[in-house]
Amino acid sequence: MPDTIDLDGLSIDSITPATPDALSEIVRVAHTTSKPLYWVGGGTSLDAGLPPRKAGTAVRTTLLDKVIDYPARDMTITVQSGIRISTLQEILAKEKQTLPLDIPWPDKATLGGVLACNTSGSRRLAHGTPRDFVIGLTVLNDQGRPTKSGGRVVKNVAGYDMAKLHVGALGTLGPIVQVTLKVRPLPPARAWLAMPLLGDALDTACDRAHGCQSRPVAFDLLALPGGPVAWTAMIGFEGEPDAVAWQVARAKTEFSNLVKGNIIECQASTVDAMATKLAERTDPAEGVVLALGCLPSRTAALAARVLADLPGAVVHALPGSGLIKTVTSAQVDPRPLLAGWRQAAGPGGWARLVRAPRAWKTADATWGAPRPESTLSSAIQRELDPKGLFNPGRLLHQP
Amino acid sequence: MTTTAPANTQQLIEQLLAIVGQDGMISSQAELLVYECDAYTLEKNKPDVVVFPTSTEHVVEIVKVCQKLGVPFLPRGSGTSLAGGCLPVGGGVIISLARMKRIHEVNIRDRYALVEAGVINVWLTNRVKNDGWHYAPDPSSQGACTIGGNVATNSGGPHTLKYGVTVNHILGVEIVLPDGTVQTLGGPVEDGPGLDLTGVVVGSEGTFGVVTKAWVRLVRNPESVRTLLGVFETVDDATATISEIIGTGIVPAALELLDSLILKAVEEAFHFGFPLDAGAVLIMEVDGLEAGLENEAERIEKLALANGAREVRRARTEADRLLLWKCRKQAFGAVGRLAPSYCTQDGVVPRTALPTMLRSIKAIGTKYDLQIANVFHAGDGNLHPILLFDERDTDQQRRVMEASHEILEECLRLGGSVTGEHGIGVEKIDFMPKLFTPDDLEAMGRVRHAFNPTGLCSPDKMLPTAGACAEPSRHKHIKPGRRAAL
Repeated sequence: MPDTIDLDGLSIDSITPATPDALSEIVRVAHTTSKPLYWVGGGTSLDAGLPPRKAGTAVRTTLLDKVIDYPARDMTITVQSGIRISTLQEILAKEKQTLPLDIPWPDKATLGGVLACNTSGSRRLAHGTPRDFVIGLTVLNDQGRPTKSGGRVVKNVAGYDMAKLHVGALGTLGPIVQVTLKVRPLPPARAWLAMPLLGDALDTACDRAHGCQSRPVAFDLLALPGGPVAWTAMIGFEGEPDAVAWQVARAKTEFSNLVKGNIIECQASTVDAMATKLAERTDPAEGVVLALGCLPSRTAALAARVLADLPGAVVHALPGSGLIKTVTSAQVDPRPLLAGWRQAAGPGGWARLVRAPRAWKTADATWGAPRPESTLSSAIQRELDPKGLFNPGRLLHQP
Repeated sequence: MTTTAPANTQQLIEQLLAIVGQDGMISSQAELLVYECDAYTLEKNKPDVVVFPTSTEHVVEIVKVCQKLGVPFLPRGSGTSLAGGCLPVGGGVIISLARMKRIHEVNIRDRYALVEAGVINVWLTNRVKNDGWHYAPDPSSQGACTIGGNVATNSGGPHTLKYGVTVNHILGVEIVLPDGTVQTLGGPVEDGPGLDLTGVVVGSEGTFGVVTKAWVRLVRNPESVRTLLGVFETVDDATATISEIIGTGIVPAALELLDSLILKAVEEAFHFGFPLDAGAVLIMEVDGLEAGLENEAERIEKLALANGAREVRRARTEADRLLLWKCRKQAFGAVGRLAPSYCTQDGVVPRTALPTMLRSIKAIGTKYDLQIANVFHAGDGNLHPILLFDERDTDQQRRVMEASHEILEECLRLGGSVTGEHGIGVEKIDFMPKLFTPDDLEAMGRVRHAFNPTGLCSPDKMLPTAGACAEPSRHKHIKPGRRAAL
């Protein structure tokens, strides 16, 4: 039953295939008619990349949500891509397993969408990103035929690692249909500390975290408007209860001279959802979202710069990964700040507009100046989607 | 599939000479013999010339000459490939990265190093170990293999169980594409725009171009480590233990199995004190924070004993621990004590299928009247059955190839793969149509075409050429364009 969806300002009809074969048929028809397709999972990242411009059809993947195979003792699971993250985590938790990824709005977000955006959060410091968990992938080619890569075992180098191309590609190389993931044991204990930092302690805190003994799985910096301090360090631990208790005590000592006021040990009821909540801080329904990347050692200075340039903004930084996200009100166009931020980010650094009024999302604001390797990306794009059917115009290398 | 015509060879050599000089080239027939194969010795073919660039600019010029003359070329690190990854099918130019071995930059604070492709794997860890850091992917050949080679095959090693494989530790690469352009893909800043080109280059077995540099991730050393050695009467007991350890939610740093055949060889070579009457030993290592580590070690010990371990020893000192790892990592080198030649496979099965797989290997050994030793990364189901033989006996050669084939078929039947870390190379091209459909292979071919449109870079590797037999050929000399040593 077609209904209309607003895709980052483009209003288009949507359809919802009930089976992978139905999705294949949709792609096959699109190939014949040369009519673009836009993938819609949980709808939590529909504004990723450049706004779509070409008329087409939105394809909802949410009915393709089956568990295909879950040999728990092998610590792998094979599922269809439309499965919601929270459903997946519940299934894994029954076997005391988990996918250690911090995804905002997990009740809505689908695995396919998470992979398309390579969405990650605080615990990427310890565990990596979705890219690091995919061991097998099935994607439909431009004629709607399934193509797979990898397999169902955790060590496998047969063939090209096509999954690495598709993860983070915003669906522009084809729809992800089925995924095999490696999973990890669910840690029996977790803890989070909130440390309000002294005004001049940001850089020192990051340096100290780099070499600290307590070895957290997450070390985030959070700036919330109206708080008693500008910056709070959010530090996460997980593992065996004895080890986590030791880590918490050690961290309190290690960072004590950088703290203003009290270190708060988060309540048990909030601990499990803490990382998700942190991710959601910079993924709200309203506001303008920007993201930056730099070398880890530069994160503190760059985050401070962002806060200085956007008073009242929420800023969330992952100094171990060199990543910063910020949410600010939509009243003022922040694009003039990008050039200065890109300069401050240093060699290889970047700054992007992630969510904003459609008119502000130019190619330069959204992706920055094209890098030389984009010619290679374009070549791959042309090989796998010569007709430009798949989510066209969203990634920089597309015409 | 091209071969270099004799008239071109002289022209080729002259033009390459102008780039690398006399000292940077090997073209005499006698010297070229060294490069006719890698560690996969069952197939051999001489290149027309081997060159030794010392800079990316050299590589660019070399590649351009090859394109101009229509000559195939391929990169080579230390030649430790066990799948014929460095075999110059159809002749052509081997571009050896052996002299591009500088570590350009080490940045502990930003957790990366920038190295040339010819840097030996273990040099990296040696360089940063005093700072308390290391480079995690540690294949057993790490004293010889290069980072470039590791990138080509997405190398593993014993510690990948906990720390991941090479692709999880490569932040970016500099690659000379087959058209002679230099691209920088990725880098030490994460989440750059565009596709994860670095991710697909890793494991591409030299078929996309010549990787000349890599930004590698450095990892902080764990605070503490416990290394245990479980001694078992049977391989079955050892594999059952592995399944249980993984199944109860422990993620050891490493789980490595050595069977009685290998034990004899390594004990003779290294005098560790292995019990020669054991069916198998299991190296079980856990690492992390000291708090909680002893508990984890005890849990593993209990599981081993509950599954029939005769005893569980501990490495009491760092020297003990290093010797134990030396025995494991140099086990292949000790195989010479068992037989004049060996052929090792690299199959993978789901962990829970390990007991079945090991029993199958034993049965296959009996069927083909071959001794098969086992030493492998048990924790991730990646096996290395070592088939022992004498390559001077053609009947043994035949039986080895048939037995190898049957072992890999069994891996597939159990839901696994034919290669966990060594790569497809030339050895396992016949298996690609068993693992992948024509559509799967066609998609991969399209990606390769984006990088390597003329097909001159590493031809006849990884993907079957059009018209290749669906059935594996048991006798390699039947294959067009490849001359095997028989």
